[in-house]
Formats: sequence, C-alpha cells, structure tokens
Amino acid sequence: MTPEQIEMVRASAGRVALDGQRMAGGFYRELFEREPDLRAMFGDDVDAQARKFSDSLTTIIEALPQFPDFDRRVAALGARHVRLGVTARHYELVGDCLLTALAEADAAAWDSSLEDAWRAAYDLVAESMTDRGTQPREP
Amino acid sequence: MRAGTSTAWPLVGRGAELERAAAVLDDSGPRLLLLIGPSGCGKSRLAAEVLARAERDGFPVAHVVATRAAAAVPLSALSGLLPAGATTGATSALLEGATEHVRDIADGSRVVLVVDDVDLLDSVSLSVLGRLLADGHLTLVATQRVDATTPEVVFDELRRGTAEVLEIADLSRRSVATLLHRALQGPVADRAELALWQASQGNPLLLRELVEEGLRSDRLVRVDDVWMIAEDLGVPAGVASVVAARLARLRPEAREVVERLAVCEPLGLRDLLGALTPLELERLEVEGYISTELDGRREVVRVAHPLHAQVARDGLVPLARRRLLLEEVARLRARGARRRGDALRIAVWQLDATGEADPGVLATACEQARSAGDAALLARLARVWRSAAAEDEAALLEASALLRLGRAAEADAVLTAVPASRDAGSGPDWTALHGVVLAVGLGRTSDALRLLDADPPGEGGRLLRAVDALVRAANGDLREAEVRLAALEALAGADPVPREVDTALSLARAWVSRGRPAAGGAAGRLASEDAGPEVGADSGSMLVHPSEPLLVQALTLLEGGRAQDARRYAVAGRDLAVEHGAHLPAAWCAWAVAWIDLNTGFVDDAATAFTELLAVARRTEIGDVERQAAFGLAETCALQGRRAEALRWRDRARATGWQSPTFRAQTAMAEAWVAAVDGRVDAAATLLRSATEEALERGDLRDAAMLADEVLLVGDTASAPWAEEVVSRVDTPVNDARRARARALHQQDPQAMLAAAELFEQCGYVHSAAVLCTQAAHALSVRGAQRASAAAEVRARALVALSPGLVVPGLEQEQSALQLTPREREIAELAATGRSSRDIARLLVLSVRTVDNHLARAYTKLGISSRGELPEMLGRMPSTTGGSS
Repeated sequence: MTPEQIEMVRASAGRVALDGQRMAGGFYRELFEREPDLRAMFGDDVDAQARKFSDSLTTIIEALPQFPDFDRRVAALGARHVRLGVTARHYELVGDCLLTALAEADAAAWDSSLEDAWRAAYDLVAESMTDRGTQPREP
Repeated sequence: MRAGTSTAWPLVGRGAELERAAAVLDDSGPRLLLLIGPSGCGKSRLAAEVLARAERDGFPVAHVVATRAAAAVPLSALSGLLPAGATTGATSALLEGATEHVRDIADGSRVVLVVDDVDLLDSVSLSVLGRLLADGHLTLVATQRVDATTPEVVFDELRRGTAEVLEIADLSRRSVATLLHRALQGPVADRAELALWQASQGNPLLLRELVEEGLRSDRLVRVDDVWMIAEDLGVPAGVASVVAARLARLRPEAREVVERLAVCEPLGLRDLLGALTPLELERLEVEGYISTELDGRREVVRVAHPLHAQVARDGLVPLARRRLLLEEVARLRARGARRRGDALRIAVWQLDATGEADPGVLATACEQARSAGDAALLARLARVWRSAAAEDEAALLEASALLRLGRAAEADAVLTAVPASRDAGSGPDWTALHGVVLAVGLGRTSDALRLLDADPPGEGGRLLRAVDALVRAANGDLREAEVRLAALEALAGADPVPREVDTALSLARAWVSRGRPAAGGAAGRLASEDAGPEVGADSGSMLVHPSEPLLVQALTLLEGGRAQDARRYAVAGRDLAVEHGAHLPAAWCAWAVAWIDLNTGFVDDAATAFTELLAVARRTEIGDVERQAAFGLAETCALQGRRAEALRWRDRARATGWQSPTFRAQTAMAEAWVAAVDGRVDAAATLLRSATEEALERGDLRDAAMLADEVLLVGDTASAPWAEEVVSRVDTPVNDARRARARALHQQDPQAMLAAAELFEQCGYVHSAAVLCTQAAHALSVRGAQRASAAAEVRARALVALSPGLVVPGLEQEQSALQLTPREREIAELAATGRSSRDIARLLVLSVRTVDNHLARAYTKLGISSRGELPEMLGRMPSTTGGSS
C-alpha cells in the first residue's frame, strides 16, 4: 500500500468505527445472502460476532502503519481461521462482502480511490492471514 | 533498516492456486500436477510449498531439478532418489532398480516428488516416473515453462484424466503491491510501486531482482518508513541473465527475429515473414516474446517486454547489430521510403549502425521528429546534424528539444556555444529560445532579462515578443508582462499563431492570471468544472516541458480554494516529468506538491515531500531546488515548533547562494516563520510586510494577498486593517477567507473568527482554520463565555488531529484540563447512547449524583449544554489518552 492509501483507510476506518456494529451487521447480511451455508460457521449470537468483527477490524487497521507488528497480529488471526476450515474462496468472498459493507457505511467519502485503498488493505490482511509459515518470523 | 529480502519472499496472490495444487495430497486427488507458466512466474515456488505440506503430512518427499546438462546422463537427475551407483549399467536394469528403490521408500504409501523443468528430464527418468505413477507409488508435481514441450509420459497421464494442469500467470498489479508491502515490510510510495510494476510486469522473479538491485544500488530507499525510488531503476544483472537464458533457448532464426525487432522495432509483420513462417511467428507471440498490434491498416510487431528488447540489444555483437540495421535501411530504400516517418527511420537506423547519417536525410528526419513531438529523438538527431553541418536550424532544434526534455542546462550550453557563426535571420528566434531556457528552464530570470534587453524585440519577431512577456511573468513582474501581452494581442493578425508562440503566450497568460486575477479578462474565480490535468496541457510544442502549465495551474487552483485539485495537477505534472526523465520539471512539480501540503497545514506530509525533494536536488545538483526544499523544511520545522532544526535548515538554504525571483514570496514566508519560532515575531511580521509591498510593486496581487495574510497568521493582528485592504484586491475563495480573518481579528469578534475558520476549512486550509478556532476560543474565554470557548477549542483540536505534527500556538498539546478523564468519557459515551443517569449509575455501580457531576463536568469541557449534542462532540474529540502524537 502507498502511505496515502494507509491514511485514507485509517481515516475511513475511523469514520466507520463510529457505528462499527452496523457496518459489521451489513457485512454478515451480505455474506449470508451470497452464501447461506456459511451461516453455520458462526455462532448464534450474530450481534456479538459483529461486535468482535468490528473491533478486530479497528485493531488491525490501527496497526497498519507498523508493518511488522501488523503482520504478526494478523498472522495469529489467520492461524485461528485455518482451524475453522477457511479456504481461499472464502477470503475472496469475504473481501467482496466487506467492500460492499464499507461502501455503504462510509458512503459519503466513497470513491474509486478509497475503494482501491480498502482493497489493497484487505489483500494485505488476507495474504498475511494465509501465509502459513513461509515467512521467517522473529523468535 | 533493510528489509529481509535475503530470505524467502512471501508467497502472495496464490491462495487459490496453492489450494488446487495441494489437492494432489488428498487420496482422491490427481496423481500428477503440471504447473505451467512463463519463466520466473513462481511455479517452482508453488511446487516447493506443496512439497513442504506433503512433508508436514508425513509423506516421503523428494525434489529434483532437471537440467539440460543432466539430461545427457540417464537417471542422473533422479540420482538423489536412488541408491549409490544406480545410475550406471544397462538401461533396463537401471529402470528396474530405480523403480524398485522408490517403491521401497514409499513403503506402502506414495512418494511425493517435485520435478522442476520436467521437459528437460532424460527418457529413462521419465520411464521410471511413468511406471511409478502407474502403480500408485508416486505423486508427481512437475513444473514446465510455457514455451517447452510437454513430455510424452505427462501427456499420457493427462489423456488418462489422472493429471491436472494448473496454469500460473504473472501477478496482477494488486498482488504486486501487496507483495512489495510484505516483502519490504512497509508501505511503498506510489511512484516506486508503479515503476516496479512497469518494469516487472508482475513477474515475481523479475520483481525480486529489481528490488534487490534497487536496494544494492541505493535507488530504492526508505525515507520516513516509506519506500521510494530515488531515480529510475536499472536492468539488474540477475534479470539480464534470466532473460538472456530465455532468449538462448530459441531457434537461431527465431532469435534473430527477436534481435532484429530489438534494434529496429516496430517492423511490419510482412517484413518478418521472410525469416519465419506465420506459424513460427504465432508461436513466438504465444510464448510471450513478441507482440503484434495494428498501426493504421498495417500489422506491426514489437518485442513484447521492454526488458527483453534491452537484453537482446545488449547481447548483440556490434557487427551483427550493424548488419541488422543496414538490412532494414536497404529494405526501406528498396521500397522507395515513401511512407510517413521513413526518413526518420532511415536516419535513426543509419545512425545506430554507423554513428553517422547524411545531412539531407537528417534535416528531413529532424522535421518529422519535431512534428511527431518526439523530443528525445529530435535532440539526438539534431545533435548529429549540428556536428555534421554547422546549421543554426540544427542548434535551435536541439536546444528546443533539450528544453522540452527538461534538460535546460544542456540547452543553455548549446545556445551559448555557437553565437559567432549564426546568421542574422535566426537572431530573434535564438534570443527568444535562450530567454526561455534561462528564465523557465533554469529559473535565472535576471540573466534572461539581460539577454532580452540587449536584443530588444522591436516590431518583428512574434516569438521574441511573446517570450519577452513570458520572461517578465516568470520574473514576477506581472504588470510589465500584462502590458506586453496586451500589446501583442492588439497586434494579432489573421495568421495562425505558430505553436511555439502560442505556448509562450499561454504560459505567460497563466502566470499573469495567477497573480492578477482580474487581468486580461480572466476571472479571478475559476470555473468549478474543468477538464482535469490530463487534458489540454500539451500542445506538442518544443518550447517548454508539458508539466510547466500544470504547475502554474496547480498554484492557481490552490489560491482558488481547491487544494485537492491543486495537488492532483501538481502530482500529474510530476509524474509526467518523471516518466520523461525530465529532472528539473519533476523537481519543481514535486516542490509544488510539498508547498500545497505545507500551505494547507499538512506539515508531516510536506516534510516527507521536501525531504524527498532534497534527495533529488542533491542528485541532480540543481541549486535552486535544493534551496527551496531546504526553506520548505525550515518552514515545516518552524510550524512544528522545532526551533533548532528550523534554524539549521534556514542556514542551509541560505548557504546554497541561489536567488530565484520566481520564489520570492515563498522564501520570505519561510524566513518569517523561522524568525517567529525563534521568538522574533515582530521581525517576522516586518519581513512579510515588506515582501507584501514588494509583490504589490511588481503587480503580483496573489502573492501580495498570501503574504499579507501570513502577517496575521504569524500573530501580528494589529496589521489587520492593512492586510484586509491588500487581500481585498483579489477575489478568490481563499481570499474571502483571508478577508474574513482580517476583519474578525480587527474587530476581535469570536463569532466572525469561527466563520472565517469555516471558510478556510472549506478551502482545505487546516492550519489557518485551527489557528482561528484557537484565537476564537481565547477571545471567548476572555469574555467569560467558557462553554463556547471550550467548543471552539474542541474544534481547533479536531482540526489539528487531521494534520499530525501541526503545532498551533495557544493550543495545549498535552493532556489539558479540557480533556475528558476516562471516567467522564465513559459516562458521556453511555449518555450519548441515550441511557438515563439512573441506568448509567446502575451499570457502573455509582450514585446517580456522581454520574450527574461527571456529566456536568464533561458538558463544560465539551462546551455543550444538552445530552443531544453529546454524540457529535464526542466524535470530534481526539482520544482521551492525551495529546496528538
């Protein structure tokens, strides 16, 4: 990501976080609409799930400027997802749904460059999450 | 710190491929997986990932790299898999022994084997693999280049349906960006990302070579945690050898076609059919060596990848190169050289082959290059022409081409070198061009004026007269420039205006209308819609670099209250200049980007941009750029309250010894801010006031307005009435805000200050808006309106939060009494959700009275009086944990 993109995403995340729960709700709605089978992967309490999702997103985006730290955090998150049987196709689907939800939540500022910036941020997160130990890590 | 590029790069953009590939490990998966792709696309890397997984899953594994050399000795590639001494003996015995041995290793399971470049495996090895595949003791992951022939054994498996093919393409642009970020462990600047993408075209191997070479040669550097490229990227040795190896695999006839294209491209498809059949050409295209496109009605062919062309050219011995070029010259001549641009092609090829060309051809070729707008080619041809025949026309053309390329110093050398021999007829053009070179190209406006005064335009020479106006404008003498422009317009006849004259005129007009918004009928307010920086910038004229008008436009837009658009224009100009390798114009546009950030109050961004600019300036030894970059940094440090650094940068700027009249106002502003941070506010104001008077004298109303407003910004509010008068002469949105500021400060009216802050904020001027809010807060506090004062301070704080690093005097940076305590914030946030005090008390196990007390204190600090206002104000507050970072 370019530094400009990082700034755009952080600012956008800040705006979205004001009502993070709603954005996360939108995300899950979109996800389950496109892939109803996925509903079973999540617990009954979608509200709690949405809150957790929104909080994780905020934390991850906040860590974005400090890359090594960001990478470590996200990799840990990724390790948990492998155990849940999440595949590459899911990552793609989640990316699309997240972008849709974000576009809605940050509609006033949404344009193609903000979309590209979020897309780049998501790619970075997804790649860090799915990196299964090929990257040498500090002890 | 250097990123860890010495170790394996992360695998990026291959999630889906990896999953499909790993399916070979499932019991129900395919027995053979063939990974096909261009060289360097990451096939082997993917195969290695599969192997690592297989090992984790408990499979016996092995990895074999087939090579051309090993193919000569049967089974030698597989020797690592076989018992010692098993590679000699009769073929049938070898086959038996090897198969048996691998069965033993498999031990009832299957061996997972990766073979890189399976097409290079010898036939005995392939037979062994075929047998093992047939009886289920082997899972094979093979890689193969897209241009190689798939071995029969693999084909059999494919026919049987027990094999799968996975095509691996080069990475997308998005994946390249992600890969760079992860490999370099940090953000990568736009231009660096673009350059690496363009050079690698998404090929991971090339990308890695380019990055590592960039790190080695200090072309790729980390500035403030962001990766940037200092200049262009070279072709690293590693890339050259990879590409050369690829070219070496071609049949001699095919290779010669690629080489011929590398030195003469583009060539007509028909011209290549003598060397290769249509089918062979098609194969070259499929394999990614060449590409065809339609040029008018004619199909032309090029080398597909610029790096390939470069390497192919470098690999040619001089005589072979000469032969190829002269063959193409002969071919064109034989055909009569009647097509447009044929003279150009012949001249260039002759030149490439022999270092010379005949002057007649050169003159025609120069004219064609000029009308095609190809400045680089024109500069080259004109130079040869000039050395072959001392024609004035040649020198003029060369100088103008160099100017257009942003190489003004060389243009100056050309024009200075040959004055004695020149004939009278070309005199005015000569002076005109030299004037532009000095004034616009090199920023030496006073030298340009001396030159023009020695050779006054008189009646004739429209170009000279237009340039005269342009030089005055660039020198900041806008009144003079305006008079000359008006005279020229009165004189305008019915003849079409030559391109060069038109360029000089429009640039002069642009400078004048920036500084004198009411002049020449140009409205002070810009139309709200315009075509954007992509359109209308380039007339194809050779007089100035096409980024020059974009630069002027950017500065005009900034003053027009459209900071975002201004930045877009400046960035577009910079990218255009960088793309052309025009260092000086690129530096000036980069300066404009930094200047816009600085003016609007984004000091951190400005500091980064000025630092980068300084690096460029040092590399290109452009004193004037270095001076402005150092002054920029001085002002940035001053705005951040860093006195010692500000003084150091100022001294550094002064030491460069340059004095560009074009940047008088900017220099005065930097000097003033340094004086202010040094505690000499009076000196700062005095300096700015005299700079204002000086700007008025030369007729630059916008500079004057900017400077007068700055007098108020450094804190000399007593000058408000004077500033208001100066500012009122220009009618632009930013000046509306400036006028509002002057009036509000004069009357010490806090509401008016807040209104002025609003106007500044609309123009994107965060710094001014924050300062005004702080001043309003102060004025309100003095009047005892604590609540309103707190609200104004919250606004100021919210503005400062937008711009990391900005320091506003009078606005406490550390945790102040106005910031909510964690408890107050917690309660206020709960109240903002609509909960009653009783609810909150129960939730937090407090008494209702305590809750109300906390809330009351929070209201006072936030400057509000009701619960309904809470959500908005809480959103505006920066974090509770104290201060901006």
